[in-house]
Amino acid sequence: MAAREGLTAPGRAAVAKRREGNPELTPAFTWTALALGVWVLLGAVVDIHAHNHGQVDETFFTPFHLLMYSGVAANGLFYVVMQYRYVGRGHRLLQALPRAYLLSFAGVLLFGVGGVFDLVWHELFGFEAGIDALVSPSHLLLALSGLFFMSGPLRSFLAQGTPGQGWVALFPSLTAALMALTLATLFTGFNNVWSQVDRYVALDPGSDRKLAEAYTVATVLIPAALMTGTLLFLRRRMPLPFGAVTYLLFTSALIMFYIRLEDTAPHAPVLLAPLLAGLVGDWLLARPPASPPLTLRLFAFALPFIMTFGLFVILQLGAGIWWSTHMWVGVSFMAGAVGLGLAGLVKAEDIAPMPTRG
Amino acid sequence: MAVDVRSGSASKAAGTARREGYPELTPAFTWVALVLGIWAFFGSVVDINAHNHGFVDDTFFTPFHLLLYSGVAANGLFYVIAQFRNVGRGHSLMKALPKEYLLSFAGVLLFGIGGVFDLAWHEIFGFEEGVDALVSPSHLLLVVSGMMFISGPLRSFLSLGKSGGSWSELIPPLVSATAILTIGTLFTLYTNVWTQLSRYVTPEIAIDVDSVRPLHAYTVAGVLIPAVLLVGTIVFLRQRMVLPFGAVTFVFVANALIMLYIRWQWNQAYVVVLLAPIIAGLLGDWLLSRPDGGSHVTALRQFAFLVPTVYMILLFVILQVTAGGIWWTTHMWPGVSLMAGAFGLGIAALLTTRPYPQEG
Repeated sequence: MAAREGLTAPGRAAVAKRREGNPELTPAFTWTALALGVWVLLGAVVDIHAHNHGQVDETFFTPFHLLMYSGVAANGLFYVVMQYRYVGRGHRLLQALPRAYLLSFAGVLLFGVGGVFDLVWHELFGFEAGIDALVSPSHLLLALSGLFFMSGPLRSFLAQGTPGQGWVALFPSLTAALMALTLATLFTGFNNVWSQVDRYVALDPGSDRKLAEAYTVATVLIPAALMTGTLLFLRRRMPLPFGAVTYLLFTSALIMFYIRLEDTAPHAPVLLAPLLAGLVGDWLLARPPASPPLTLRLFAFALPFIMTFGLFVILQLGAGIWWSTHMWVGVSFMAGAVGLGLAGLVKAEDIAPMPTRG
Repeated sequence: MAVDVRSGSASKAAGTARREGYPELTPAFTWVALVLGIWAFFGSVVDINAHNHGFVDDTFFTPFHLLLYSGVAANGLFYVIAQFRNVGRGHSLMKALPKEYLLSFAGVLLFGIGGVFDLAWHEIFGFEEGVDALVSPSHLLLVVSGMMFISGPLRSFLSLGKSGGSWSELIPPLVSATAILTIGTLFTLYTNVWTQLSRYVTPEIAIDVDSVRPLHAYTVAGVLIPAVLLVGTIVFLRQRMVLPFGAVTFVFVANALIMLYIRWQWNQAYVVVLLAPIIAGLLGDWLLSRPDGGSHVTALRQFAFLVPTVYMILLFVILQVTAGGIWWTTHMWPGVSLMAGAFGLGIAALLTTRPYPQEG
């Protein structure tokens, strides 16, 4: 304060000089925002894993909550510091963070509001048990606010691009997309074949076979739609470096596999399926396309089809499944059809050009 | 005979003069194609209804199959005659039907191949029971072939590049789109809230396996999957054409009605839930008919989020009020309705940001 008062008039004018627009985005800012988002997501993943494995009781004070909430606090601290710094440099309040990052900051604030809403909700309607905890409106608000700050690097890329097309340049936005996908699959984890893979081997359809069949079919189709939809969303807007499809599919499946690891661990070879489907997807996108819309449709069908078909073949070769041949073959085609339906929403003229070699 | 040959040579030459391009599409052709497609479609609806209500045994020869397969045969006859006639008029073999209808004809032929494949499949892997019958590859091939000819009027309309038209012009593509959507919901009927309403009111059985209960997960999926199909269909259409006011309501109500009908014995007690697609449909029509304020993308995102959310909230409120409640907790029904909206929003993220077709 004293130093500031000590400034000469021209010096003060320079400090307070109004700057138009958002501050420049630096790689350091992007990578910090990414690392802080990953911190929170990992906190959420280990917390859900702990809940699924009975490692938590009713108390709020667990190491898993500590990891998650300290991550949110770190995000808050980062954006507050940055906001303060850039306002001090003359940027307007609503343009004091690099473009698209104001929503990330808003996400952290919304997380706080969501926390209060969560308390009120519990007071009014009681605590959630089981699936309720994943679908209750107050928890969805927390998920949404998390999505706001985790998706920062992706939204930033979509808003202003990045000076390169290689892995280093695209990694933050791809990882942010992976986090958004993972939030969606975590909150529909009860309908996710990767986290429920043991149900296909061990679930006794028993007295209500139809219900068991319907549940397990939906549990294939929903993640197929989320995974393929995310990749179509990305491919429409940006070039994907070779390996990007494999990275997203495999990591998403791995995280979902991990959250019920005690039950899913015996079926670990199924993770070869997203690996294989991802490589086929990368290869399809890397070929020079004779017809971009046709390639995208082929990609959208082949990806979920190979992933699902591969999963069931691997299970059949190992523990075997209780589904009939009609089902596992047919549902694999249906997963492909879901992808194809999503591709029908992407118009040909919107597909971003892929980088050309040389 | 000799006279005919001599005097007819010139006229025959004229008659077989090569014609470039496709034959002109007439309204009569479009409406016949639509009616024939709907014939086969209704055959499948009443057949599924009959299966669900135990009106059929293991025999193939049922009145429901007769309706379905006679519809397919009528489609075949129509396209064969039209193809034959237009080839006779000089059109090339691959352009002898109005644009986009060759795929409809191919669909009928594929249905025949699918029938043979179905027999072979049953011979190798046995007959399907329950959900199996809706997902088996040979039945899916029949579905794809059916979709090929039922979608004819829609594909034809979209290929014309017209953005809109009068209701009489728009009924064929809209009805065709509704039938395609409904084929999607029919073949996922085991995870469709309209068909399975009784599961939400009375939990028949819960298979408890540690913390995740399949009954909970199953009923959540029963909301999310039809929500995606409904929103996806409307936004697919809106990207390509102007939807007249009432189109969203028509699609929603027709779909909900058919899905209720196929398990009518269990669903008739809850028929008042049809208010949900009516109100949500009108909301959708209103949202799409408003001036978009310069941002068509925002307008369509609002539609994609609000309509499924309101649709599902209304459905559950109506069940709560009229059916004596549902077994879902208060955490679940508002939350899952919001998730349906979130899925709609996800669908909207795939759409083009370029301007949509406008009136006039």
